[in-house]
Amino acid sequence: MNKKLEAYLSEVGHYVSGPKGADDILDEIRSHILDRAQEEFGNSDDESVDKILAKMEDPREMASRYSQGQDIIAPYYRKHIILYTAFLFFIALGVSVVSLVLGKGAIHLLPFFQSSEDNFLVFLGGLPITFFTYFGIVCLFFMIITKYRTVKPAWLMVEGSGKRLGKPTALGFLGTLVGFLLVLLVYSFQGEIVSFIADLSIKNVVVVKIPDILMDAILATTGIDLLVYSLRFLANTPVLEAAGAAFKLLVMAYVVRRPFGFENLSGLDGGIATAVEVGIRSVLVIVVVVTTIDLIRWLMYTFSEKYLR
Amino acid sequence: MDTENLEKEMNRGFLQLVILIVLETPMYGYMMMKDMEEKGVSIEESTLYPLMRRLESQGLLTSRWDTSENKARKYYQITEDGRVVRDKLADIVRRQSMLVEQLKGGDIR
Repeated sequence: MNKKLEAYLSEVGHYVSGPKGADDILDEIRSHILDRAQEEFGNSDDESVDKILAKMEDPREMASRYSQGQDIIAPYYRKHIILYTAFLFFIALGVSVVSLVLGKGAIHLLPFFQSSEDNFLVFLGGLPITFFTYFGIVCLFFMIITKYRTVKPAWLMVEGSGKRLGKPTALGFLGTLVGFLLVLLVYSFQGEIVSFIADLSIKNVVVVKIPDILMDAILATTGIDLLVYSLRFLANTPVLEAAGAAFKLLVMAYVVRRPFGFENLSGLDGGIATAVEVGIRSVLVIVVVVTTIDLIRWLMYTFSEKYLR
Repeated sequence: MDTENLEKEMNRGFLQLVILIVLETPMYGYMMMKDMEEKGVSIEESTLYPLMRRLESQGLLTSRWDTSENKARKYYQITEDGRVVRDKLADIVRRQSMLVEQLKGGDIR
């Protein structure tokens, strides 16, 4: 028994499979190498076999010839595995963030995985479990459609969902800066502005002082936008947009769950202030949902940029 | 210009036909390689063996191990289905060849 020959066959056998099993393929290759050694060198001793082995194709390449068209997951689908996993993972993460922001009692990462928000370590531990679970589900899905090729999935155009990160412009920066300065202006002189409007004593106009915590949040959000836009001049990457969306969600998570305590300065029915608070909270929920979607899209764009280019 | 890749692409279907023609007589892999080489068709083992297995899985070839000699060898032979496919492929090649002749119109050597 030639050790090099057996090592070569063992290496090939590591990568091949066939309807009659790998052994049938390996026996045939062994027979071929011995025949060739006999033909070219007059015998099939170790030295002759070694010489033939030197001429043979790389074992892995040889094995791959047998596997053509028999991929467990077709090459076209393989490049989508991470993207689809990321898609499902970030949806789960988005649901968790929304759950957290809305102050629900548990953080849902998977249909069967819930962790109390009090135990953040359990939540963190759940992240890789969630990712790999979705990875498995996606692989299984691709394996099935590789096997039954008549199934043609409608591919999601998820490489940023059509969203592209354009180059930052001076005009864009100016707009963001003006927005931030306006908020800063209102933030700094809110007391004076509200007093001025209240003094006008216009009938049937509700004057409500925006609570400090909400003003802090608006200022922080526009500040994050300005910072992200400025940083994009240094490195124009979707990671910045994703990070910006994540920070904004954290700010909203902090704000939404605290009492606003609107101060009714107009002397009108106190119920109106409550109605205003409910309205503003509803708007905040919409903003949270939109920001979460934005976060998911930028994260997916980041993944597609990183792994699919 | 290197025509090696183009030739490989063209050979893919052609080699299947050649194998189906040659295997009217039962042969084992190495024997086939030598036989084809003598007839002017060069094929590497890493192409031949997987190709024969694919044809076998399609029912166009049949195989059996012969252990009567001191060395076990796997013999392949064409099946009835293989003969039908072979004749159709040969017809296609014939028509393609005629078409090329017509298309080149004397401009291509």
